[in-house]
Amino acid sequence: MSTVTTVLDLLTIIASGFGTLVLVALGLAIIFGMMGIINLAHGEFIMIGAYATALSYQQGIPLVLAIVVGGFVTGVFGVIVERLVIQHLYDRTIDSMVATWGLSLIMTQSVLIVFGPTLGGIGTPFGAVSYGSYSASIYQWVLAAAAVFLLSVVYLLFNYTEYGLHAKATIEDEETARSLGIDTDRIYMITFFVGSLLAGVAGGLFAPTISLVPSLGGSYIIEAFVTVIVGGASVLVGVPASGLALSIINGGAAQFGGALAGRVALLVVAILIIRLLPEGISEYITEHIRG
Amino acid sequence: MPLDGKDSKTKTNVSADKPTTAIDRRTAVKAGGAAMMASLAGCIGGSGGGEGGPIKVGLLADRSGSISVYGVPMTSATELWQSEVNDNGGLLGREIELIKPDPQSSNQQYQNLARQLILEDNVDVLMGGITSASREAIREDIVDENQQLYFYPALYEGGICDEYVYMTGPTPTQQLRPLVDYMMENFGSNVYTLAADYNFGQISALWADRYVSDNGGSIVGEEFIPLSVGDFGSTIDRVESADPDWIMSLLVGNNHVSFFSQAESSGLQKPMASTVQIGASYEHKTLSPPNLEGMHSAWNYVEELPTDRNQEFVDRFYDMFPDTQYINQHAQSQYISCLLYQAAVEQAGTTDQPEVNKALESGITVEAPQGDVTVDPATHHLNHSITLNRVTEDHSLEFINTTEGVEPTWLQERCNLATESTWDDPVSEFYQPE
Amino acid sequence: MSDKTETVEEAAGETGLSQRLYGALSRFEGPHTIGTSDRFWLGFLIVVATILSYPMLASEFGVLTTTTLFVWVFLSLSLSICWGYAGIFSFGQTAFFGLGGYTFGVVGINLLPVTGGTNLALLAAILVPALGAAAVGYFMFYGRVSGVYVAIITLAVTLILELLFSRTAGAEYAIGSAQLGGYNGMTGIPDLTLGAGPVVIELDTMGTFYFVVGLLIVMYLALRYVLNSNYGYLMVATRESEDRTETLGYDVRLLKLQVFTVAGGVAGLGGALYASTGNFISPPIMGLAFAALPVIWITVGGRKTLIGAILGTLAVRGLSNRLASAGSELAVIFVGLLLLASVLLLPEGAVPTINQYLQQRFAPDKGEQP
Repeated sequence: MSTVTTVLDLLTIIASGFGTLVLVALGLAIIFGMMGIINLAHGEFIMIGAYATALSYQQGIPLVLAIVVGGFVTGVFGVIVERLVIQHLYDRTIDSMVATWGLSLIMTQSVLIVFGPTLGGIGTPFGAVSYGSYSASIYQWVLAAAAVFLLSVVYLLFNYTEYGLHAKATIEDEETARSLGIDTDRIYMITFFVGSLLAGVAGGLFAPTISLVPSLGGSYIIEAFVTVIVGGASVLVGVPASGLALSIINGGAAQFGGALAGRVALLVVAILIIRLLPEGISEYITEHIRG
Repeated sequence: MPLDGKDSKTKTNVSADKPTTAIDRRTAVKAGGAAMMASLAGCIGGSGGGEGGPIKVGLLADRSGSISVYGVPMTSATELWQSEVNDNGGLLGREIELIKPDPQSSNQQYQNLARQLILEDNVDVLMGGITSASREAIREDIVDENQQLYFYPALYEGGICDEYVYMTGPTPTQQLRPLVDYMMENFGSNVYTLAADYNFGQISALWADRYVSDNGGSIVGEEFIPLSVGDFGSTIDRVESADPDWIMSLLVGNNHVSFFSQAESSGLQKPMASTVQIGASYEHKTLSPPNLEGMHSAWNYVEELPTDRNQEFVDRFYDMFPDTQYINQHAQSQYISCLLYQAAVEQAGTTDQPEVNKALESGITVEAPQGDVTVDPATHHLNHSITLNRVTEDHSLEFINTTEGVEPTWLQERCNLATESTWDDPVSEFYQPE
Repeated sequence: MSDKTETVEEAAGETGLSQRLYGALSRFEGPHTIGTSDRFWLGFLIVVATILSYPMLASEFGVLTTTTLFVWVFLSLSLSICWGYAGIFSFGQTAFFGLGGYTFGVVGINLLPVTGGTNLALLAAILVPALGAAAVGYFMFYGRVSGVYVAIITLAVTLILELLFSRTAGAEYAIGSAQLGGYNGMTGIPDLTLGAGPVVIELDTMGTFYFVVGLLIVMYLALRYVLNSNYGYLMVATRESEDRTETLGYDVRLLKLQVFTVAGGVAGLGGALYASTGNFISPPIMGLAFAALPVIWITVGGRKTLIGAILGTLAVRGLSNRLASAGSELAVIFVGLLLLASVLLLPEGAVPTINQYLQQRFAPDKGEQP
């Protein structure tokens, strides 16, 4: 067991943890950062994406396309939810938590009623890569790559499109933005679409490796929540930084102490980071960069 | 409290911003009080299963929440039995009435609903419970205290010795012995155990470890994974570096199923054995091939059991419930519970619970889909026939061998309800392996 | 306060006792709780009388179920205290509820054979969670953590407890003769057995009902008293604007710590009652699904009033129970819809909205009286 393979292993674990955390948190972070809405049904949005992807794949659509379909279906669903519920709750952060918790109950149970307790699975694409006596799933690296890809897309979206410009203006100062002729209502709607789409894509990416049950969202919501809050208000800095930090902690602790240790360590570190950096990691970083 | 300074003048209501305090709020409280009382008043007094009316069967099976995977087939199996009995003139000429509330995967609701079934609905027999936690939430202080006959159908960690309770599912000692023997004989003596990190997983792992040592093997690694964890990257790593001959899987629940697809895509090619997978949560149906190829399991029942009797049962089941995803162990054991109850009532000639209990303890045998099963009077468990099977590349099952009449021997050394316990002076213990 | 003057004047023509009574009652009245007229107190007495006579009329099951419902109210009240009144959004009151239950179980199982009663267990079940709350509170408030970040930290705390307690299966996880039981939970938790010296009463179903209701009434009145006192004003001021309150010279961090500690104790008491009435407690009580429940209940009922918290709990949980009993698969959907409707249509909660409606209907009349 050489040091190189051990290091590669550790890297793979951290990379896959990073990928997972970023994927689950990105959509939630955009919505929270932009609109002050905490969507506790985020896990269920991921579930919608996973189900839509699986169902498309089972209809014969190739996997990558199926994931895109999954994302879009979730995005559209998000728009519906936004028009009906969310738009009444802007800057009512705590009320949004309560309302979306209710939404998550409805979504989980409805899917259970319509699709039954489980859905057939879809296979894991790609194979394994061997090095030394270890092998790693390429798919773990695919998740990490997808996370980086989506982060770049979000970066381009917010910095190089008209929507992005308007969106940033709206976050900065809604009143002024509106008085400058920006349709802030539409901006919010599009943003929620983007956030939901990202959640759906995450679900689609996870679908090949998990068991498809209506309650699958429940295992992601806590990680998403924690990653977003620890990351802080700035999405592009906070989410990857938080994802990296937490995955190192979780992976490291799990490697030495077992899965329980990893889970507990993640929660404990989240508590400590919130306490020490009350505005989240991103503020800490940006302040230090500004020097 | 700021004063308006104005007295309200006319009847037409202006929108009151700060109403004065001299307002009658009694009505609000009373209305609330009345609503509260209305929502509190439970159904008072059931019609009581007397000797003339329907026989009341109470079933606690989750049909919502994460446990519904097991609860839905269980309910179907019970309804199948109910229709079969009622279509054939009933039991003792009386109709079976099934009361089936939904505990929503919550232990609190289990307590609440068990009380309702026993105290309000006066059920003649109580059945159900899925997780050990839900069973323990009701066993001592509700079932035992009210002397209620109760059938528990799920596989569990073993050790219950309770006058009022009959366990129709298999225990780890029954499943593991033939399985470990076979795996060690065919694959080797170095084993890596992966178990769910709670009572059932921990105790099953303990038994697995013991049987492996008894056979001269060794556990080269053992991990306990909390139920909420679904990421197995580092676990797979450690398994690979330990390089066992085969893996003992005691993983439970939706999150743990990810292990198999993650292992598959990591290229982990070890043979695996389990007393949880396949028969309970039918992963060979929910995961796509060939994720589970090479998984061996030992069960009293799987839907694919190749006997005529079982095939007939499966046909009837799917006839009545075409949307069934799989007939799992829970469903079949629940069906056995019903058959046992039926046979015992017929033998006793009454639904009087102590009498039915006596009939059961006489060592009743019924023709279950899994084969003939007999109640062991000493432990209130069943002597199961355990069949080994292996999952093939396309996720069908290949059957290896069957061991007939496997008894719960460890419990028998400690528990003799037939001789040491009576209905009114009961024994109620939960033995843990030392 | 013309209302108070009115009531006192109404009473002016009566004996000095009534005068003193009205004076005393006024300490329980104020802008932070509903009900300030004599009619309210009359109604209150009627409701209490109804509740107290309930066990005579209902079946044993009815009494048991109702007792359990009232036990949940303690959890809601604890959240109402810290969130509704002081603005501390705790998503982890179940941590203290669970701790209280487990403490009662451990101390009760061990000491009952020795002392013959569960008094100490009950006391411990209040103190241990209160201490825990003090520790967590100190960590948070003296670190200037507030708002939604408090929610995350408290949620994380309750989840950590759930994880740790789930690990405790196996005979080695016992405190004295009390097995923690891991995921299967702790069984054999004793009934409430109260007493002093030679007089010991083990509470049966009815006795437990009266004990719980009695505690609840006392707690309700005590809270009314505190919330309408200067301290109560401080709490509300903190909720409305921490900065301003601090500028006025008050130590907001200390206040929040005190409130959070008391809320933890109240939750612990609820947990003890829960453990003793069901004789059972298990780790999921500290999990995510349960952590959300009190938030749901008091949001529907109205978090800024005590009655809102109480009625919201009874109504929503009562409805949940009914639906579970009916075995309907739409049960969970109803609760979800209720939540949505509540937030969107009745942002203040059901009780304050009903209250305002009733005021608008009756206000004009009342003002016309001399």
